[in-house]
This record gives sequence, C-alpha cells and structure tokens, in this order.
Amino acid sequence: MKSLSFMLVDDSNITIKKLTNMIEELGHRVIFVANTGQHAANEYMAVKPDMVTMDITMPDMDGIEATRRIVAQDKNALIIMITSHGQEQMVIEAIEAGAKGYVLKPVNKDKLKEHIEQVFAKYGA
Amino acid sequence: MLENLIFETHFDIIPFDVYVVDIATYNIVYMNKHLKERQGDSTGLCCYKAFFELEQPCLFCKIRELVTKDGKPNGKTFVFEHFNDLHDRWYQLQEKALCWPDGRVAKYSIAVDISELKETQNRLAEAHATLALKSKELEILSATDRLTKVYNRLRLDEFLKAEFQRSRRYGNPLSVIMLDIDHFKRVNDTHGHQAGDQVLCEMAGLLESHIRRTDLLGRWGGEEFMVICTETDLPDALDIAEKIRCAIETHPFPVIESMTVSLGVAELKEDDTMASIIKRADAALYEAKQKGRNRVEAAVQLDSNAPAVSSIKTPPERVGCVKPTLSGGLNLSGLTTSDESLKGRP
Repeated sequence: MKSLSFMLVDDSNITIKKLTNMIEELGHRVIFVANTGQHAANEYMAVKPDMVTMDITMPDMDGIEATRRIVAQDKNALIIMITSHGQEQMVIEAIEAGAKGYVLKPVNKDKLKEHIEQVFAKYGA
Repeated sequence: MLENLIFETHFDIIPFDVYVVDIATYNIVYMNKHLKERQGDSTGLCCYKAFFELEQPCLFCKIRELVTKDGKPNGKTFVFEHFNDLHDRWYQLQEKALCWPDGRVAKYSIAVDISELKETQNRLAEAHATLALKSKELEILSATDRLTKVYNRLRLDEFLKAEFQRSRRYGNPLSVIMLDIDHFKRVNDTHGHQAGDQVLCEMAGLLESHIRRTDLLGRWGGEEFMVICTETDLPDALDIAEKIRCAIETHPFPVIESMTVSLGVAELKEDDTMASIIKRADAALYEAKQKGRNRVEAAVQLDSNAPAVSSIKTPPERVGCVKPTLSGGLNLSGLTTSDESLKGRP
C-alpha cells in the first residue's frame, strides 16, 4: 500500500516511541505527535495527516472527545483508537465519536498493519 | 531491621512482582526477588520514573486513595487491571497502604501478569468495535440516497420531526428550503438518463458545499432537494437559498454547461404542522417556478381555507418575496416588483 502520513496522539512517550518504530517499519511516516487530546484537536487541520492513532486516557482532554472534535472539522478523518480500554461502552462511545478503528494494547507490527490497511481500504479516499 | 527482613522474606516467596513505594516521596522502598530478577534493582528510585519513564505520577496512581487525610493507611485494597507500556504486558494490580517497619507509610503493589487472559477479552472488545462500525455503516446506508450520497427522504422526515419538536419546545426558529432543478427533464430527454444522474450528483455536491454545518440536506425525490435549517429564521434561510441559487447559476456543469434552480422557503409558524410547513415551502417553490424559475420565493402563512399559493392573489400578505438582483444578492424590497425582468429567463 502507499505510504501514509500519521499523527500520533498519546501521553506516553514509550507508546509514541514504539508506535513510531512500527509505523516507520511499515513504510509510513509520522509527521506530528500530540501528547494531549486538546493539542491534537487544535493542530489537526494544519497537519492534515492521512491517519491518526489516538489514545483514550490523557490529561486535559481524552481521546474520545478529541476524536469528536477532529471529526467535526473533517468528517473523513481516519482515526484509529489504540488503547487499553476494552469496556463495551467505551468502545461504542469511541465509534460513535467517529473512530474508524479500535485496537487493544498490546499492539505489534502485524496487528497495526492489519488495522491500518483495513481502515484505509474501507474509509480512505 | 528484623521486621524489614520478615516482610521481605514474606514477599520474596510470592511468585509475582511485588514492590513497595514510600507514599510521601514515591521512592521505591523494596522490590521482591521475582521483580528484581526480571528488571534489575531500582530500589531508592522514584517509581514513576523507574517503572514508566514518566515525569509525574501515573494517571492511574492510587496512592492518594489508600491513605487517610493525615497520611495513615486507610485499610482499603484496590484491585485493578493495568497495561504496562514498557513491558507490553497486562497486569492485575493489588494495592494497599501499610506501615513499613521503619515507620514510613508505604504502598505495596502485587502485579500478576494476566496478558494471556486479556487476549481473549481484548478480542471481544475489538469485535464490539467491528460490530459498532458495521451498525453505524448500516445506519448511514439506510439514511443515504443511493445516487447522490446526500440524505434520503427517510432521514429528512426523521430530522424534520426531531427539529420540529425541538423548535416547539424551546421556541427556536426553524426553516425549510425546497429546491427543484429547472428544466431537468430536458437534460434527461436530450442527453440521456446517465447525464441526468450526473447532474443530480454534481448538484448534490454543490448544494452540500453551500449549506452550513448545522443544516441538513437531502434528496426529497426526483430532482427535488430539501434543506432543513435549524435555528434559522426566514430572512436568514432566504439568504442561504439565494446563495445556493447564485452558486448554481454560475457553476459550469459538465455536458449541459449551465443549470438553474428554483427555491421555496418556509419558516415554521405557530399553527404549522410538519405537513403544512412542507406544503408551504412547496407552494413557494411552485410560485418561484410560476414566476419564471431561477429564483427564491418565501412561503406565506397557510390559510386553512385557501390553498398555499393563495398569496399570489393577495400580494400584501407575502412575507418576503425575494428576487435575484444582478449582483446575485438579495433584493428584499422586491416585494412589489413586477416579474418583467424575469421573462427572458429560462
């Protein structure tokens, strides 16, 4: 598949590092990193990445609210939640907010590849 | 200290990770054998830095919930699941405050690796997500017009009903714009149905780019579209309608080159029903057609005895007949303007 640009949203630098490595190994590019939901929602339109990975629990604004705000600005935004929250209610809320994918941690390269390709094939331009 | 030793040998027997943290400083007081063997000795270091590479306590930290206001153990035990980013493993953590033998109040954590257990649970969560996405897709599909990809009549009806009720409850204004493509039949007759379909799609896209985020656009049927404008009174809705009319008039369409539309606008009145506001908007649209097309007309109050187009016979009651000016702007003074200028129009 073609190389995609990514915005990563996560307050954990460990996760950012791991995701960045995997994404780059898959032949994609990380063009922006946000440590809070607010930061992501504010910068999304200026960055306009092909895809976003979004954590849920973050200080100041959680990932579901950030997803809602990004989708309000760009209804075709491709956002994949990468989270440790597996409760059904949380999952549904994230999808309702406009997430196009939902991945439970731990994430490995194969799992990430599968989700990226699936979301892009289904909802990508 | 003997007591320390007792605690430590006790914890060393446990075949899971155990560590103890000073609640005042977050410094690691003790790690059991199992944990030290796995990741080395971090005793004396700050727990969130050593274990999680963070600059501040973890968001899930329970330390403050394990002690009383004056910092004594409150006897509570917390059991929760946690994903450790560093190890990429799931743990069940059991945490409680205790008085360490040297007098410091500390928190101990027993971490049981439950990654294998979580795998099944996580697959279920991902299945929930797939299901939720599917049902959302279906919902969208059932509300979307197959050809033009804007909302369909079903969704327009639902949305109008909800907005009608909201407007009734809170007294917010609500307006409806009915739009019909002028001489659409000619496109089909001259260029075939495929060209007609293309025009409909192009028109839908164009309309979508000229409404506000809070408006809802749908295909009412055939070559007729409806825009539901929430929180919008008649003058503002007329303004939107006029902008749409102007945008379409100047848009270069493929094959047929130019197209125009006629629009009827109605604002919800006190005695309106859902049917009557649509009827009034439709009547205004009809009036726009009658007056030469490529124009916007405002609906009048529906007289229960008279047909909705009765306004034609009684011009003074017309709320705001709008006529396009050369600049494409609104001419609200056009209330009494004759229609001479439109005679040359298609």
